[in-house]
Formats: sequence, structure tokens, C-alpha cells
Amino acid sequence: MSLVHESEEIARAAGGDRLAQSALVTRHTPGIYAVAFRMLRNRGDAEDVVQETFLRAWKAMPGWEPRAKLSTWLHRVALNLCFDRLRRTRERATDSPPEQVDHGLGPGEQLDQAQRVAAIEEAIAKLPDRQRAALVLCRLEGHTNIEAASIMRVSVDALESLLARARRTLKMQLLNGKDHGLG
Amino acid sequence: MVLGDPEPSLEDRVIALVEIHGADPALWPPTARTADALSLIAQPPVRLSKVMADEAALDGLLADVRRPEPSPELVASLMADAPRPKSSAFWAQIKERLRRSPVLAPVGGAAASLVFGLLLGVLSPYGGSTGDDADTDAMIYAALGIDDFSGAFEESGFE
Repeated sequence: MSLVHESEEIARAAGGDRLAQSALVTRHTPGIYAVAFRMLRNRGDAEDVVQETFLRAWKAMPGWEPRAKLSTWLHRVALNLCFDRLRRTRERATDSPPEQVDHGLGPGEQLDQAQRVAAIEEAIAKLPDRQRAALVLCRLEGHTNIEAASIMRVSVDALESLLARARRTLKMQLLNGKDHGLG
Repeated sequence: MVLGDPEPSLEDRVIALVEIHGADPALWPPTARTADALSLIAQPPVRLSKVMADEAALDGLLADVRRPEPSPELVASLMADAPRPKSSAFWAQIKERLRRSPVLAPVGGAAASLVFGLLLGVLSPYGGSTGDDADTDAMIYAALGIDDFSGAFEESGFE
């Protein structure tokens, strides 16, 4: 969708056009929710982030300037809200770090599909926040490296460095000396 | 003389690409899918072959991860928060067009002033006709700064 077409749709949504609002919600909610859930790993928190993101969007829409794609703007707001929540959570949980369930794949283990997915998700969840964000945006949500860099407000080189480090960590946790858990 | 870092070999560049974006060139940035890179991964040397095997294994694991879907309740609450249509879309459109147009804005302002002035005149105690010509004349002359118009005519010999 071109920026001009998108701006027209945003103007209609800002004026109360329910069809335009519904189109924006339908188009953008799945991606934003998926990123928020992958960052926070909690359905309620992810829903709160999506709701806050859209509240800010509805407020911003009457004066919307088509400098960036709405998708980039929404993802950036959502990701920043996630980073804020993660920071606050860590500040509160100083004494008792959350118990981590070890889903590591043992050598030669024949894990069923659910166990394997749980292990992968656990490994992704343990990545440092910015590495996880880069991986989720590019690898799981299919954003280009340029879009993801724009969302995270970093250079493409910095984003690619985050991606490479994330993949290296995952390989060490999931593949190192193991049977790849693939049966 | 300062020598820079030597240019990385094609294999090194492709290894870096694979370690960032994975073994499937379809997931690489379009600018990275050059003919020489694609031909190298078609018949990879041993070192690249090992890297590609590891990255392909990781890609396989990541492909199993399912996308979490938002609930219909969340979508409904987002729509409930969305701005409602204005009560008078017609007047809002007129106002917006007047505000944006460099020609219509001053014309609209002048028209609004005219309407306001007419309303003020009609509603004012001095605005309507009293039916008494003498009162009307007195008001006009008072406005011109002449206190006693009948005296003025007498002195100038009109009577």
C-alpha cells in the first residue's frame, strides 16, 4: 500500500469511518500482537501493549504525516512499550529470578513436536531483548532488514549484528553437539 | 602508507550472509542475492558447506514456531477504542475545506462576519425601525456628532 493511499485511509479512520478503522485493525493487529507476545511471553501483557499502541495511534491519526509507514510506527511504539515493561519487570524482580524450565535437547533425544517447539521458544525467550526483537521481526515476522532497522531505530549493520548474535546463541543452545532434535 | 583490511573473499561474504539471514537465499536481502553468491552456495566449499548445514538446521527449527494469534476480544476492544464519527460530518467537511483553502478561508471569514453583523444589528435595540422618523434622525445625527440638529438648521436660516 502506498503512503498516499495509506494516508487517505488513516484520515478516514481518524474521522470515524468504521470500515477504515476495521481495515487498519485487521491488517496490523496480528503482527503487532505476535511481536508483543514473543517479547513478553504473556498473553495479557501482550494484549495490553497492543491496546496501548492503538490508543496512541487513534490519537496520532488526526495529525498524521506520511513520513513513515503506519506499520513501522505501530511496531516501533509496541516494541518500545515492550522494552519498558521488560525493564520494569527486571527492576521489580531483583531477589528471585523467574524459574527457568530447561527444555534443552539432549543428544539423540527423540523429542515430540510440542517439546521441540517449547524448547525453541524457551531458547528465543532467553535471548537478550534486542537480539530477540531483531530475530522476531526479521525471521519470525518476515520484515526486511531495512524495515526492522527502522522499527528498532538502529542502522542496518547494527541490526544484522544483532541477528547474527541471536542465531549464534540459538545454535549453541539448540544444536551444539546434538541431534538437532529433529528425530 | 596505511593499508586497509583486505577485501573479504566471496566465501567469507556468503558465510557472513548465511550467519545473519540463514541458509535459504530466499530470506536474504535482494541485493545480496548476486549471481556469484548463488552459484557458490549451489556447490559450496567445505567450510561454507558446514556453516550452511548448521544454519539450515536452525532455520528448520525456527520454521516450527507458530505465530501467536490475537483473540477476537482484543480486536473488538481495539474497535471500541477507535474514534467515533463526528455528529455532523457535513459541517466538519465544510470547516475543513474552508480551513485548508487559501481562497475560501478569507471569503468564509468575511461571510461569517457579515452574517454575524446582520444578526447583531437585527437583535440590537437600535437595530430595528421604531416607526418614529424623529427618533431615527436623532440617532443618525447623534452618530455624526451633532447634538441638536433642529437648532443647527435654525441658525443657518433654513427655517
